[in-house]
Amino acid sequence: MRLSRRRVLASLGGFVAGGALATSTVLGYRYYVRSQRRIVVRPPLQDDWILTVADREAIAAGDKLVNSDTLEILDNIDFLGGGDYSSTRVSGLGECIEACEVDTRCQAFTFARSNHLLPRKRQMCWLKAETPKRTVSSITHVSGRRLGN
Amino acid sequence: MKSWPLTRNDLEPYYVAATEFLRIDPVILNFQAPFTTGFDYRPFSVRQPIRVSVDYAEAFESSDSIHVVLGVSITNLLANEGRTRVTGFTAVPLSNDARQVTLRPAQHLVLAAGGMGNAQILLNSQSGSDVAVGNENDQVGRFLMEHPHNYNCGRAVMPATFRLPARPAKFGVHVDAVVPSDALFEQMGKIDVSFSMNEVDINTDDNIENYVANQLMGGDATAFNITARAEMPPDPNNRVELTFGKDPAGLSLLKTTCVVSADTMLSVDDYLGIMGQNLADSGLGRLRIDNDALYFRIEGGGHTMGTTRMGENAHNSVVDGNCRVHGYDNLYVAGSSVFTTGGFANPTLTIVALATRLGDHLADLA
Repeated sequence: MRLSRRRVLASLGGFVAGGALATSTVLGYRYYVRSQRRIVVRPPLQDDWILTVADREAIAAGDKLVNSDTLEILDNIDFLGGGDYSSTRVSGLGECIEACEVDTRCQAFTFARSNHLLPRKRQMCWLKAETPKRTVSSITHVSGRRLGN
Repeated sequence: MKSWPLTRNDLEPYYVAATEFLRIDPVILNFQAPFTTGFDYRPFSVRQPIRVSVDYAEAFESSDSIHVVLGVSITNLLANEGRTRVTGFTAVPLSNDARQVTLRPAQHLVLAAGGMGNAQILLNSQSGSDVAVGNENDQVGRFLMEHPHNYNCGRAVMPATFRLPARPAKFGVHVDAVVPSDALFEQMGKIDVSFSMNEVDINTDDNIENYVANQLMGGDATAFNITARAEMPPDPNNRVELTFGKDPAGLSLLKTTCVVSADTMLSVDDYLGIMGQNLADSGLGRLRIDNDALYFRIEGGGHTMGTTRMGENAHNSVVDGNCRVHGYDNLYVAGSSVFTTGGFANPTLTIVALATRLGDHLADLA
């Protein structure tokens, strides 16, 4: 039997339509399966220290700005990178500034305030061997650099 | 022991007898010392367990009134038509040749198969009807309780010179723990809880612990991890029920519903908060609550209780104050399944005390 052009086109069209339907079904099912397997990550609950008013004032006092004769203090600035050679937990910004002032290697520092989102970073002091070029605004950080850098 | 049909005074002589049986000094029964406002130091004894088959082997062998049979399961209690007496039971030895054992008229039957086993045997005992023996009021298996444990749900930082109160010399191997004082417990009106304290090093990765240890205590501090062992309020919806499948002896298996309610977690949270506030106010130290451990990491203590609870009212209990199953003249239950409330303490001492008291009661009936 000789096939007419109409029949050939209709057959091709049928294959295309069937393939599209099958493909969309498979893709839709894969999407559904993946959506069911999505794992919801629950952030850990905050720990709860029971402190006195004096405790909280003492901790907050460590976040207040302190001046320096040899360092330019930059409030609400986080230095990114810069060759961190020391990371230490300190009692406050003053201790971090002092650590950088007395260390000739220290060209810059960054201090994370006690209200940093990540508990492990709170009241941490990073001493840097060079002044980083990249900075980002952050209300939970104070940074500083040698005057003239 | 409110809501129990007996008081601590009723059990006191039997607690002493229990310490003798368990070979520990009775000093552990009542020792406590002040810790901080609202809390007392009350350590708990963790002596090596006795092995009854070893430590009392001679007593069993020499007794004319004790006949020990090993390797046999009890699967079915048989009751008379009026459901006033147990007339016998089915014994299934390892060889699985089940046999019927008939009780003599003067004999009593005491089930002592554990917090789960007692309920399982009763629920399996249909005795020719739809209602299991002892379950005429649908109370067997209900009021299941456990001891939720929250490991390291708290942390206390104290001066390095701090020492927990001294214990009597005969106290023996123990775990340090503090508990709410009677006055605080009455004031809170909630469940009971104990907080064990395990001394550890200071963690300077925590900026506040670093502040407390170094700035507040001059660098001379120590820390304690705190683990809560709490009471679950008795809830009739926490229960064991029969389900499909049987164990090798033919007992139907159990399915368990045991939900730790918000009451328990919030009570632990409240007590920790009060302890922390009192430590801070007194200058004795500072406390941190690990909310993740408290609310999301609860573990069981392996103490199943309450499934044949003791009470005066047959409509919300299974046994009376003498551990006798309501309505039955000769059927008794021994073990943690009779506990009306769970407390926080390991149940063995109370199990033995109640069993000793039951023994006296049965001797009086003889």
